[in-house]
Amino acid sequence: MDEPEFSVENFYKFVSEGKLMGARCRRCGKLMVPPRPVCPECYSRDLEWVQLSGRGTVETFTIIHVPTVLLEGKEPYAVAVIRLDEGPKIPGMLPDVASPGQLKIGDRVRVEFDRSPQKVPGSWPNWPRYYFVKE
Amino acid sequence: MHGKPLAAIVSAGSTKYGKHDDKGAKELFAEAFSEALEGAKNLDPKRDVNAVFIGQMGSEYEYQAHSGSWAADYAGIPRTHAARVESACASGSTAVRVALTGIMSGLYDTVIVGGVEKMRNRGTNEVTLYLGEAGDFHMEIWNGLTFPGLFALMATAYMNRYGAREEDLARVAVKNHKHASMNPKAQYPQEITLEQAMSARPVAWPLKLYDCSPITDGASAIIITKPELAKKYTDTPVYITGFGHSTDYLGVYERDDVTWLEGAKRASDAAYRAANITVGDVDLFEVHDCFTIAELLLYEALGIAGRGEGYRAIREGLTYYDSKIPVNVSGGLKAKGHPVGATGVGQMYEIWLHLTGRAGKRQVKGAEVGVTHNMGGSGASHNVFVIER
Repeated sequence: MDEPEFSVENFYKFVSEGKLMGARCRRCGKLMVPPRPVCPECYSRDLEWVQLSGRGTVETFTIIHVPTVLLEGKEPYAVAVIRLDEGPKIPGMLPDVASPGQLKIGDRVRVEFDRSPQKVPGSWPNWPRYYFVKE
Repeated sequence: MHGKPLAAIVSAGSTKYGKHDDKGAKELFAEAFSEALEGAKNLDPKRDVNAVFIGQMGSEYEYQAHSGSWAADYAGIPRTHAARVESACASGSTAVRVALTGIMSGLYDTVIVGGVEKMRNRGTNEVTLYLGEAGDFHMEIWNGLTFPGLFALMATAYMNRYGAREEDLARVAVKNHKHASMNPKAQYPQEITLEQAMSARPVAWPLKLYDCSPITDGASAIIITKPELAKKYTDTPVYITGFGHSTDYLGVYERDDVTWLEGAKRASDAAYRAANITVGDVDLFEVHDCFTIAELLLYEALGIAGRGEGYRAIREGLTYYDSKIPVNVSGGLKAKGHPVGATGVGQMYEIWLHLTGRAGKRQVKGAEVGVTHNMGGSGASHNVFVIER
């Protein structure tokens, strides 16, 4: 039972290794993405890391034209809510989608990983990003 | 009155919402408080006020936290009960809720409630990052979303499911700018056309510039007291007769249905029930139209329109100030402005103006029952108040 801590920090550490991971509650089976240290359904702390397929379906999306300072210069890009095949939903960028005609609700997507060094070394947060491409 | 008075609003005040280069949060609060104090005859804060609560979302803008203490000091009562209350964009109404529960518990007789935000001293992308803190920073904002983006996710799904169009969103902006044109304290009192709204540059498709509330400096304040003390301080008290509150999942992505604001439904149901009213009894609403799509979703959550039919209400013009169900007669967040922490208090200021006949050109005639709805983040907290005269 030597699992890494079930934290957002470790979720992104796995992203840096090219893995999209969630936490599964061993008691009730709930799958948490991102992971949490305590299951919000049954309050168990008996959890395990599970790797996700990274495949899913677009539930809704937007095209960002005015980003935060974190992503200034990358616009326009899409961000979608993806329903993963395993069930949970997560938000994710689609950096190649720049206009609404290029994506629609129901499109199939798969995860990719951007492991290039971040803008400000040493600062927090300095996580790598997962992102999605159309299948 | 339909409900039992829980507390009385004896007076209210507000700065103009907009750009105040030469004033910070402290001076803005002082100005709103002073206006509220002028309307409360016989009220001496040093003798009569037991507490000060101030709604404010961000201290990052000015590197000045601990606002409860400075607000009490600026209200002339540096040694009292005070605190800053933070619940993102619902900070103002949450400060009112803290004051109200203090009065209802018997702990306080009279409380000053302020709301304030100083935002215009920062660049747009920086403010966009700070506001994003109200969403799920780790998953949503880090992965490219913005505050407009979160509401755009709702808009895309809503249009796809119900057949609403971008024009319907724009119609909300046209209405609220029309209302703001009658509000001397509004940030953007210019009327706009549907064409102008439709041809504006995109911020987060499908939301364009006029679908978004602006970045605003401003403050609002109210003075509330136990119902039995109200007449001591004013001849025209109004009464809070119902309130309701609900949180919801922090992240939009975590919610089952992104076209539905369940927290707003629960908060408004609780408020209506407490005040013993139905939606048909309400003469005007001030709701949290941080983005035009939010106003449409709130028509549905608050029972003004059926589920999936909010866009029909704006198409038919039902929510103009002189129509059947006036919504955001102040101009709303959209055109009056949205100094985040002030907004929930400013909504109560607007209802107070109407119920006491002080709203000027935009006065809703004979208004007796008003409802405020203030939302935190992308719908992760909601406060609804019923106010009656």
